[in-house]
Formats: sequence, structure tokens, C-alpha cells
Amino acid sequence: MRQILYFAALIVLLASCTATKLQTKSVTYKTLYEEKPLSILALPPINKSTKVEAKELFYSSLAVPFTLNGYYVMPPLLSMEILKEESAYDAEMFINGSMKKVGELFGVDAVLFTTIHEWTKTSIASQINVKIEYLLKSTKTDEILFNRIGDVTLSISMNTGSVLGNLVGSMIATSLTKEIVVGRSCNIFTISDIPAGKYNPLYGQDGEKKAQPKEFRSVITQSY
Amino acid sequence: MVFIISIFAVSCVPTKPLYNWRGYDDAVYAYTKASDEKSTENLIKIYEKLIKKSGGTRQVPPPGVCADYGFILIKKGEIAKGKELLVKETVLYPESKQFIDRIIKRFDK
Repeated sequence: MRQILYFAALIVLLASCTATKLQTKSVTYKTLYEEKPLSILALPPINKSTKVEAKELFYSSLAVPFTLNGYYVMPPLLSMEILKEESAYDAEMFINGSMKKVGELFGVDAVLFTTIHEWTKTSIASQINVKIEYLLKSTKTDEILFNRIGDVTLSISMNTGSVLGNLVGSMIATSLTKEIVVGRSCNIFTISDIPAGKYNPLYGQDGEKKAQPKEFRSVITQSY
Repeated sequence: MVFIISIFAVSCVPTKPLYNWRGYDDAVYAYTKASDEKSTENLIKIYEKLIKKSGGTRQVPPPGVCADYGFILIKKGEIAKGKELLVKETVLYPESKQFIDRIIKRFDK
């Protein structure tokens, strides 16, 4: 019986880590492997959702997942202050322009744009949905280094699910509001696909791993 | 209250983090939202913890923590300690030096 359980657990693990027709990270993120960026400046999110306060509240949650993958992210509170002074609060104004100026001003290798496409809460279906796009651009070549979209839905139900995500579980249990936690989960899952940065022991060794699809979708079921 | 979560991608996430960020997300969220005395004091408490008990595999304060903490102290009028922390950030993370040095120069004037 125990062996069967082990086997079942193994299948779950394999199923979640492998997917067919996916390219390796060294192919998907070729420019990133070539340029080897270390320092990132996160710009204030571009908010296309109807949730007005999403922009500033979401901003400070962007640094953590990049640092956990081995990158250096410019201090968010200090950066926000300077960006406001430099009238760079609205990132949509220069998403298509050259990154070189920002690179010089902050001394960073890459600039992160995030676009909040969706941030909705439906109380009837007890669902919170966020759809966020992450775009990392080089300040040296203006090339796109990383571009992924995360689409995460938190579905609150009375069902009992299987316990896999204690990481997210503890985040939700201790959090102030569930909405920001869905945003944070979206960050963690989507950004985790980025090749390991210089501070990560896996740096330079993960090129053969499969990259996730460009759009990442996940449904979190929360049960009581 | 017990929450049970199921997520399929989580098995791919490494289990031992590079840094200890415990308590940061909620504290910085509350600070950004309210920016009042209570949320500032709480954020300072968290920064102190992250610097003193830097867990994680790298055993150093996470990127940006010393700098943002220093910045908050300077805003509160604790210039000397704030500047010290800004310098600490550049020692821990030399890639921040160009930007942070410019900030330090401002407060020297």
C-alpha cells in the first residue's frame, strides 16, 4: 500500500514538472543567458485593471521573487521615491522607448515592466483573478530578456483538496488581504521560470531545463 | 482556521530559499497602504529581524533591505544610522553602489 502511495506521489511530481513540446530555457531565454543580467529596476506596474489602488500596492511585492531566483532588485521604496521625482511613475510612457537612460540613472542591467491586465474579485463565485504580464528589458541592448504572463485564480470553496502548497498556504493564512496574496502567488509562480541569477547556486546550470509556456495559468483552490 | 491549498506547480519550486523574507510582504504592504506611525514602526521591526536573523542559504540580509531601511530612517531624521545602512547595502551588493552613492551624496549636502 505504501509503495502504491509513493508511486502515486511520484507521478504527481513528474506530471507537474514536465510538459510536452516545451523548449529548453537556453532556447527560450537565449538573450538572458547571453547578457547575464544581475541588477533589475522594477518600474511601477502599468494598471489596465479597474482596481485603482493595485498599482502602488502591488509594486513592493515584485522584488522578493526575483531575489529568490538569484537577482538583485533595486530597493523598492527608495526606487519608487526617485522614480516619482524623475517623473517616471507612469511606465507605459516609455515601455517602447530605449532603456539606456534608465540604465545609466540607476546603474542597472535590466528594467522590469509589469502590466496588470486583470484584477477582479467576484463575490458570487468567490473567486479572485489576476492576470499579470512580466517584461524584462535589457538596458544595454533594449532586447527582451524575459516575457511571461501569469493568470492566477483563487477559488474559495468548501471542498477538501490535497495538501501540496504549504508555501502559499502559510502566506494566505498570515496575510492581510487575500487579493494581494493572489498577486504575490502570481509573481512567485510566473517569475520562478526565469533562469537562475548570479546569487543562485544553479546559476548557468539550468539551460537544459524546460521553460514553461509563455502564459502560465493556475487555479488555487482554497478550502475550509 | 486551517486552509488547505492545492497547486500543481509548487512541486517545481525549490524548497530552501536564498534569503529569509519572513514578515516582509505584509509589513511593506501595510506601510505602502497607510504610511502611518504604526505601519512604519512595524516595518522597521521587520527590517531589524531580516538583518539580524538573516536566514536562507546565503545567510545575508536580502537585497534592498538595508537600503530601504536606511531610507526610512533618514526620512524619520535618523540621518547617521540611515546613511550607515545605505553604505552597508553597497558593501553587501556592489551592483547597487552607483545608485546608492548618489543617494548618499544628497544627504551629505
